Amino acid sequence: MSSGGSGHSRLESLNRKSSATTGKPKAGLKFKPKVVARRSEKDRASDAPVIKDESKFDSKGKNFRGGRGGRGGARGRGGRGGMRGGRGMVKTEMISSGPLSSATFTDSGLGSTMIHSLSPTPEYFQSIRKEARSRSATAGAESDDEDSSKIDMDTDLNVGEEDAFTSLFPIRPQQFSKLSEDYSDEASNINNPMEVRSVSPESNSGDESAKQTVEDVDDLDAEDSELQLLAENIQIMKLVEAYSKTDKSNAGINEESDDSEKKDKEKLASKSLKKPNEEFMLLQLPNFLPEFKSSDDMDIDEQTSKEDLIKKAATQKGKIGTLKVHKSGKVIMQIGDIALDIVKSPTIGFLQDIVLCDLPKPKSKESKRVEGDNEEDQEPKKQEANMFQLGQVGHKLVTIPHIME
Amino acid sequence: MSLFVPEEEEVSQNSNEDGPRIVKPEDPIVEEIPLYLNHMTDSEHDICLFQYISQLSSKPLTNNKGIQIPACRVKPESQMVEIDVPLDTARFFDKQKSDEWSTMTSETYGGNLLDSRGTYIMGIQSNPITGKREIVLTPINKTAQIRPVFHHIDTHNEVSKDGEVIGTTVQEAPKKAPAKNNVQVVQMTAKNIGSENEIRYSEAIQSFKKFQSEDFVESTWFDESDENSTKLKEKLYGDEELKSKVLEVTESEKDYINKLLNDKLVLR
Repeated sequence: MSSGGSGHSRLESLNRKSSATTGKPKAGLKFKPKVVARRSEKDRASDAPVIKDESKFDSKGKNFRGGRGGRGGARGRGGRGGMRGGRGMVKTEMISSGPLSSATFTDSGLGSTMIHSLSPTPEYFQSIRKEARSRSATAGAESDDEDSSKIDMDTDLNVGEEDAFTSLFPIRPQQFSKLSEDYSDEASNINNPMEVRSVSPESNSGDESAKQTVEDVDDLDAEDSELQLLAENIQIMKLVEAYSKTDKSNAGINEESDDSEKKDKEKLASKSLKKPNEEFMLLQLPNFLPEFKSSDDMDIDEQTSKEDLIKKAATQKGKIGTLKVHKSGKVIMQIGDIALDIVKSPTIGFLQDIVLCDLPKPKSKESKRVEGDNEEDQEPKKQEANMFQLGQVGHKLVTIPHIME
Repeated sequence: MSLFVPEEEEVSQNSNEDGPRIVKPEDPIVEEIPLYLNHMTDSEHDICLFQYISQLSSKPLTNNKGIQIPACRVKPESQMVEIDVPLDTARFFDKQKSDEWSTMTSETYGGNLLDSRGTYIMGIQSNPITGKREIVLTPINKTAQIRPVFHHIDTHNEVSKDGEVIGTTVQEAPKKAPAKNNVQVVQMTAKNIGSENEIRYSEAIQSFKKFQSEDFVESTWFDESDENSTKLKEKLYGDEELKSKVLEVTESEKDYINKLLNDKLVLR
């Protein structure tokens, strides 16, 4: 109680002082001198320019003091006031005289080191500020009026790399903060791909059960790496389900779904921007497949030359094997005697399109000569090329042959 | 205590024997999904994988996302592809520079189509009659890494050199500007570099020459929502005829793997 009372009296007195001049704080000195002395050692040399920086941002924001307080609190740099030195001394003394004096002092020390590590040299900032000033001056009323929208732009431009970004192109790349958000979204989706990829209302209801099992397994991941592998295996089948083409006619194949599950699915479907069947999954097989004989042309194969065989291999169609899904979730591709393990490949962050290119046939040398003789280049005008965008690539599976055995 | 000891042993044995793979003695097969090998019927068609290195997968270039590709072009012989992607001029757009480079409304991405082996598109579908899943594998013939192309800068440089206000068109610019440098490169490399590199470089130079001498063919881009595209997409899921055929493997696993191991990787 007594301490509280004394605190009040001191604060009042300090308020008067602060409103008047900076010379007065000496009156309440009993505990302060040490504090002030230490601060000045650290702050004089290094921190002064940083203060200017922020004060200018604040002045744009109109709320001078409120802005300061908000920043300090949000970033957890309790000692902001202390770091400022100079003008900020008035404030810092107020804090230091209260019960938190020691705490603010130590924090300020940490805070100052933080700033040094994060920020470029103060001179750099100052030069940037000058640029910003000249810009805002030329921009005139606009920049002042639309503070909220323009401040972002200014601070972004203040990084001083405007020219670096737009030297090759008139548009600046997306901000990293946005990129990282998008990517983190992607990354979180990878862990539970079903939640995003899957699930239009018509899709197979087996999705839900698979998802549950994987979620169960996810809980145990940390404990057992074997289970983690198992979870990955199950994810392969989850992906297969997610990427399977959804037809209305197939809606009732799995009958396990409850109403609650349906609702969940609908929610997920509304969240997911893309239907899963608009994306494709890729499969990486070895460079070439084993030789096949189709049941139609067994006899011809033995007589034909190697070139013909190669040509045939490029056009052979039909059933080549099976994908065996084990109870543990392990998936094996079986082509004849040959077994290949299937593994999920890391997800790729950049965009991949599958495009069917219908290109004009490259001209042979003879046709070129003919063209040259004719003088008139009519053929190039007739040439037409079409590109059909079929869809984007979502995930990729990789097959691994059993080489060691 | 006696209960716990054998359990621990079992666990350790399993992990030692199995390594990274999980092979459990009793792991019954739950589902068998038939695999079909498919090919696009027309040899003129190439199924290509466009990898937009600088674009996020979360932002596809589709009408759905409000992006309409205004133009694309091809050099069929040198297998070059270029796609124009509209610019978002609402945000972070520098009008001054855009005007400097003769008012840009789209950015150009380009890449070289290279032969690709071993990558297949999985067309996964439930059979409407049996209700069982089927997977149709369609090989990807070509892959292209699509990167930004800076024709506007070439054009700008050309214009500023000539001192003309309106310079060459966008398409003509890249042919002329690098050509001067490149002729010199031909002479240097052919004389100075050893046999292996000589061949490699001469091929590269030849292809570059080819690229320069060839004109772009304007082509039409069909969005994935376009009817033509959706029809073609259907083919990736195979048809009745495909699923009636069976291909028998004529090689044993040993032979096949030996072949794989002896296969010289052709990096193209």
